[in-house]
Amino acid sequence: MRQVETSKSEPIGLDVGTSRIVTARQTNHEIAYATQLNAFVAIPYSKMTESALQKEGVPHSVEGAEILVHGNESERFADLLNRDVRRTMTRGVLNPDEPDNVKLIRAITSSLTGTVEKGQKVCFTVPAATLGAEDNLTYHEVTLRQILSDLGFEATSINEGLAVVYGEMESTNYTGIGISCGGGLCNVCLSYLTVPILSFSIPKAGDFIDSSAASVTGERPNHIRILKEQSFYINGHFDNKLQQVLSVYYDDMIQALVGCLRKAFQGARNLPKLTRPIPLVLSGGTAIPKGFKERFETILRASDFPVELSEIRMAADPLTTTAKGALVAALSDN
Amino acid sequence: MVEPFPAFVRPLQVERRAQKISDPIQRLRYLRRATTPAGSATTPARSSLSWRWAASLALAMVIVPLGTHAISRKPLPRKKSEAVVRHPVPDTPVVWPVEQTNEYDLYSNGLRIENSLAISNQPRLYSLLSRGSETPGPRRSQPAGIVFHTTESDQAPFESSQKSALKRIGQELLAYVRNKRAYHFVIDRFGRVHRIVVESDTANHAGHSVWADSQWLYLDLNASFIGVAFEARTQADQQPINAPQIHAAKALVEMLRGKYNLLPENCVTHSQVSVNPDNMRIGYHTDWGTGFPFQEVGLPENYEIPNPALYLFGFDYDPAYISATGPDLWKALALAEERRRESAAERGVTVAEYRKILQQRYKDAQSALQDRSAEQEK
Repeated sequence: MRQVETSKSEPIGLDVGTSRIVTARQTNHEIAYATQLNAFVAIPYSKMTESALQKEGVPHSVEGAEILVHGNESERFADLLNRDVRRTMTRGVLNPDEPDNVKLIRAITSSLTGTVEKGQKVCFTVPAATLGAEDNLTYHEVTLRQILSDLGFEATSINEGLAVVYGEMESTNYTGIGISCGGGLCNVCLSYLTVPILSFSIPKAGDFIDSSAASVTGERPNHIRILKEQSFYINGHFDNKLQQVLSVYYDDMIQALVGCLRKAFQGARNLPKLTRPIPLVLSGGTAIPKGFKERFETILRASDFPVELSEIRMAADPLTTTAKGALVAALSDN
Repeated sequence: MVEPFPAFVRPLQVERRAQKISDPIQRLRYLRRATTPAGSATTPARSSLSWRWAASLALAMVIVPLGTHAISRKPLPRKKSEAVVRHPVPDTPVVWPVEQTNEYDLYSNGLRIENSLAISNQPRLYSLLSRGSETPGPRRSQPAGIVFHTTESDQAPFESSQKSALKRIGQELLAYVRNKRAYHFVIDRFGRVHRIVVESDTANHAGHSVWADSQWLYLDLNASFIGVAFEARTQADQQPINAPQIHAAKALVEMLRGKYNLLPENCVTHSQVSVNPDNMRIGYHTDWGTGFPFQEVGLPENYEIPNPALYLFGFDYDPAYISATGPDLWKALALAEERRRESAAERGVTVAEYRKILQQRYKDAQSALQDRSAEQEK
């Protein structure tokens, strides 16, 4: 991870995702990003292990009889120990099965933001409610706000899909559909002149693909995720079993996403009258594989999607788009 | 899930005004204010602002020069003189030849170039393309920059027990690249600099390629740029070159920059310049997509230069390019895309439409250059 020196009082964009936590800061005339996996792995406590971790500079915390290695290093340790990483979040919100999730998110966030100047502004991302469900996201949002407040920040939040629009659609006056395909959720937002008119999420996303593929192949989900991000591509050719399985579940996810898009937009009342076609931008780690956009576009164009689109494109940097959008929001609040 | 668009907003008017604000943050700020009801509880900071006030503010922002370039969509304003005159770079190294023989050249900075394999090719002569008009400008026979390559050839472990293999592989490589007239210089694994194609001629190192400095555009850099290759193979987890090679590269770059007054920003890697006109994507070749030691060879961090093929000629890239390159280059891609988006917005067209315009510009520029070379041959 490359840390960039910036003024500590500058606003920060913070994407708190199920899979990764990403910060965005403005440095002179560009944006600097830093990323940590939002994950950890527990190893049995021993003094020797703890001093070895300290010596190596591996981020960790001691919780009773366990040492929790968190952030990017968790992946390496999980591989060494042949076990899966654990997550502080699931399906876009705090994981109720992990009692230490708040401490770990605080530790990971703190490792990314460094020293905070009291009152420094941060804008963090929050998911939208799941389509058709009445999710209560208040606890998640309030807890994150509290963590950031404890760190010294003055925190505001932004819907994840809207962050995609803020990060990518300046040329259309922040009008368009932003989609973030993350680990736990796919978040969708239709923004019209910066106003989030329609937003929702669906729980079929990267983790769904990983766990489904893992159950078929016998691999660990984390291993699937790594393979997926490094070398998977959707091209209709099945070179091996994993490629085939991933293709099947990707297709399932894309079909579900398009189905929900169509349903949500067809059922929405009071949508503003759009005078011209609007763009749709895809972002997030799950959208990275080669061929994703093309497959999504094929399925969407074949559906009866009621909004005329000017283009369907990938975000410039899908892994950092939402953090960038959050930074843009924070800067505009400044 | 569905929030109505505020009834008090007149979207066309708001949009028209927003379009006049070039700074994206200021534009977002204006739009958020203009679409937020006065007295809104969710935006206390804006509660005292009516949208008419905000509109006035926006108009003022168009007139008053902006103090913030929060998210840089545009290059900083260039000094006029910079666009017209190419100044020598202040830190251009001064390196002079000490001894020049058929076997080797020796320079004042310790650089030694082995000449035993030197071979000629077509004389270097190329037309410059004027940035802005994309029309062929003056012809030039001196190089404008350097493209760094890796040979991606076989490698033996760099250990004394392997010296026979290292020497044999190196010799085979040199014979191969000489036969192909592939580069101007090859730096072998012992840090020796071999002259392959003589500097006055073109080498076949960067066929389809694009680069630009503040004044000129360069297409197909075989003639306009010097090709320097490292005997190396890209590896995921380690630097492909060793200390002797870096040392030699620094001395070679100093000499070439001093000799030809090369702009530091014109010393870039193959992955930064390579394009594929068939699918209009950058990165047909991705050698040195990450990890090139710019600073160690005395150059600025040139990975951060926005890719001109993207924002001047509408090329795109794919995930394969991303996976073959590194974060420094990704930032440059993002910057290039931001420039492209900004230019599209300025013209009131979508990015997709603007890309088509740029791609046509690339084709026109190529045709113009081909016509110019046909004229030369007559």
